[in-house]
Amino acid sequence: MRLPPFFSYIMRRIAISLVVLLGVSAIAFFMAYLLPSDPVTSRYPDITVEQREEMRRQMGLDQPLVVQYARYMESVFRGDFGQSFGTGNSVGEDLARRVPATLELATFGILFGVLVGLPLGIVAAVRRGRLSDHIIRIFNLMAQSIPAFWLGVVLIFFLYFQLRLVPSPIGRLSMMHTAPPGITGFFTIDAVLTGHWDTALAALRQLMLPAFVLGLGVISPIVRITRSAMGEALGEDYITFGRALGLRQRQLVLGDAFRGALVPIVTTFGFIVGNVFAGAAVVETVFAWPGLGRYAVTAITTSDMAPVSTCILLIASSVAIANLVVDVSYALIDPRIRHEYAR
Amino acid sequence: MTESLLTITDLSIDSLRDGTRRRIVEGFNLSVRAGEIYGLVGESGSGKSISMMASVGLAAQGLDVRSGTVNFGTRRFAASDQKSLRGNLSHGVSLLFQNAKGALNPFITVGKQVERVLRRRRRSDIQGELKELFRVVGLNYADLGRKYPHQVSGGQAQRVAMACALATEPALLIADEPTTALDVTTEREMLRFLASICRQRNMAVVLIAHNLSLVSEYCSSLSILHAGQVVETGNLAPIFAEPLHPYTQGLIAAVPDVDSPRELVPLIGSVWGGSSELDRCRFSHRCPHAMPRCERRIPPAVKRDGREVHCVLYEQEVSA
Ligand code: SF4
Repeated sequence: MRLPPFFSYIMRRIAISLVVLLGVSAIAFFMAYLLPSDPVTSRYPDITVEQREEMRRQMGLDQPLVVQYARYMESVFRGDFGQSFGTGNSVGEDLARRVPATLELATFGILFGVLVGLPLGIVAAVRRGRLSDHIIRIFNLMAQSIPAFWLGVVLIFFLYFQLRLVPSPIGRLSMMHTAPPGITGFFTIDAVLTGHWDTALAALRQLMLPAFVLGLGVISPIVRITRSAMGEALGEDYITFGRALGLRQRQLVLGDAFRGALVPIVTTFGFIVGNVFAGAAVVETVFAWPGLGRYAVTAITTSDMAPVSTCILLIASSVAIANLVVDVSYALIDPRIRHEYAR
Repeated sequence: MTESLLTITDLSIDSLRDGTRRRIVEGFNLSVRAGEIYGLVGESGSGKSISMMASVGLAAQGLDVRSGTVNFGTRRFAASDQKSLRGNLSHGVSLLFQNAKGALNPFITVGKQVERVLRRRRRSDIQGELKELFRVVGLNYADLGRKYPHQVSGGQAQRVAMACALATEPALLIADEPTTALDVTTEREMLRFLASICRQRNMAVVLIAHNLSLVSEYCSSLSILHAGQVVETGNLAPIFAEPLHPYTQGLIAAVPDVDSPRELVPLIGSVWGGSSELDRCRFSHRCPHAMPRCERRIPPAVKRDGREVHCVLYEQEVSA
C-alpha cells in the first residue's frame, strides 16, 4: 500500500528531526563534559586525592569519553537521564515538575506576544508610512531594546513592592493555594478543569507578569516579519485584482494577503520558540519560577552534568518539534508546497 | 456615434520613487464608447498601464495622481480621489492582467475564486451561474473548478481571470497586455475570444498593448502613448493608412507582418532617454524631424481627419 504523499512528507520530516536530535545529544553531552570544573571536586571540595579517584571510578568518569557517551545514550533511551547532585532526585523526576512550569510560562508568553504582534504588524503594513506605522515602529523599538531582567525587576518593584497590584513573585502559586490535580500540568488549565476557580485566578495572577515580560520579546520579531510579509503580499497582483473585482478590503487584507504572508511569519515563529526557551531562563530566575531555565542555570553553575545535558537535549527537542510543526504547516498553508511533495 | 462610456481628461501622474518626484504621465486623455474595443499602444514604460490603473482607482503605491477627471457613464470623479474611484468603478469596470497566474490567489481553487466574486453580487443559483461562466470562457467547471491556479495552464488561468471579471458584469474591461505571457497561438485564440465576448455582452474593452499589429486586428480606435504623453489618437483606419506622428510612423514601419506579431521597434533610444523637462515634446530625442521649436512646449493637439496628433510638424500646416 502506498502512503499518502503528505504523510510520507511528515515521516521524512520526523526522520530528519531525529537525526538532528542525535547530533544535538552528542553536543550536549560533550558540552557538559567540557565545563571547566570537575564535578567531583566541585561537590566534595575537601576530599583526598584517593577518595576523589574512587569517586570518579564510581561515577564512570575514568572511562574514555566515547564509552561515557554510549552509556549516557543507552540510559537516555531507557528514559533514565541520570541523577542530579543538586536536588538529589533523578533528573526525570525533577523535569516532570519543571517542564510543565516552563511550558505554561512559554505558552502564555508566546500567546501574548503573537496576539499583540500580529495585529500591530498588519496595521503597520496596511498603513505603511502613515502615523500609525511610525507609532508602531517606535513601540516596537522600545519593546525590543528593554532587557527582560531589568524590566522584570522594575515591574516587581513598582507593581508589587510599591503598588501591591500583583502577588509576590515567588513562583507559580502563592502559599495560600495548593497546586491543582495534575492533568495537563498547566496550573491555570488544570484548576479550571477541576473547578478550582480561585486557584485558577491565583495561578493566572502569578503568571501574568513573567508571561508579559517573556512575551514582550516575542512582539517585535512578529511585528517586523508581519509588516514586511504583509506589505509584500498586499502588493501582489491578486490583491489588486481582488480590489478591482470589488472584494471587501477586510477579506483581502485578513484573508488573502494574510494567507500569503503566513509562510514567512510561521518561519519566524519557529525561531521565536527557540528564543523563548532561552529567554525563559532569565525570566524564571527573576520571578523565582520553578521551571526548566532556572533548573538549567543552577545545574550549570554547580557543574551538575546530568541535568545540564538533559536540559540542552530538551531545549533542542522543543526547537526540533517547533520546526517540524513549521514544516508541516507550510504544506497546510500553501497548496503549491503541498503539491510539490505529492509529486 | 454612441455616448462615451469612459472619458479620462487631463490625467497627470507623478512617481515618488527614490525620493524624487517625476512626472510620468502628462495630460492623458482617453474616450471609450460603450461596446468598442479601444487600443492603447506604447512601449513598456510609456505609462499606459499606470494611466489606466489610476483612472479606476488602483494607482500603485508611490504614485501621486496630480490632476485629471474621470467620467464613467453619467458620473464624474476626480482622479486624485482614488478611494472613491475604486469604490464606484469596481461595479462597472474589470481588469485583466498580463500575468494571469499572478492575478489569481494561489491559495484558493479557481472555482472558489470565481464563486466568491459571484457571491459579492448576492444572487441566487450561484452554482448554476458558476458553471455557466466557466462554459462562457471555454472551460469545463467539472475538470478545473477544484484546481489551484498553479495547476492550470497560463491560457486557462487567463480564462479563469476573465470569468472572475465577467462575474461582475462589467461595462468596461481593461485588458492590460492579457496575452503577452501566452504563446502565439493561445494569444490569438484569446483575443478573438475577447472580441467575441465583447460583442455579445456589449462590453467595451481597453486593450493595452506594446504591439501595434496585435491591436490593429481588433480595435476600432486607438491612442498611442510615448513617455507619458499621448502622441496620436483617433480611428484606426486613418492612423494606419497615413500615420502622422513620427513615433506612430516608426511603430507602423516596425510592424513586419500581421501574422507574426512581435515587438520590433526600429526607433533608436529609449522611451525616457530625453531630458526630464515637462514642457516639450518628449519624443524629440528620438525624432528624425526634431527642431528647436519642439522643445519649447508640449505640442498641442492638431485635429486632422478623425484624429488628433501632437506634433509641431502639423501645427505649421494649420497656421499656414
Ligand atoms: S514635435 Fe518635434 S520632436 Fe516631437 S514628434 Fe513632432 S517633430 Fe518630432
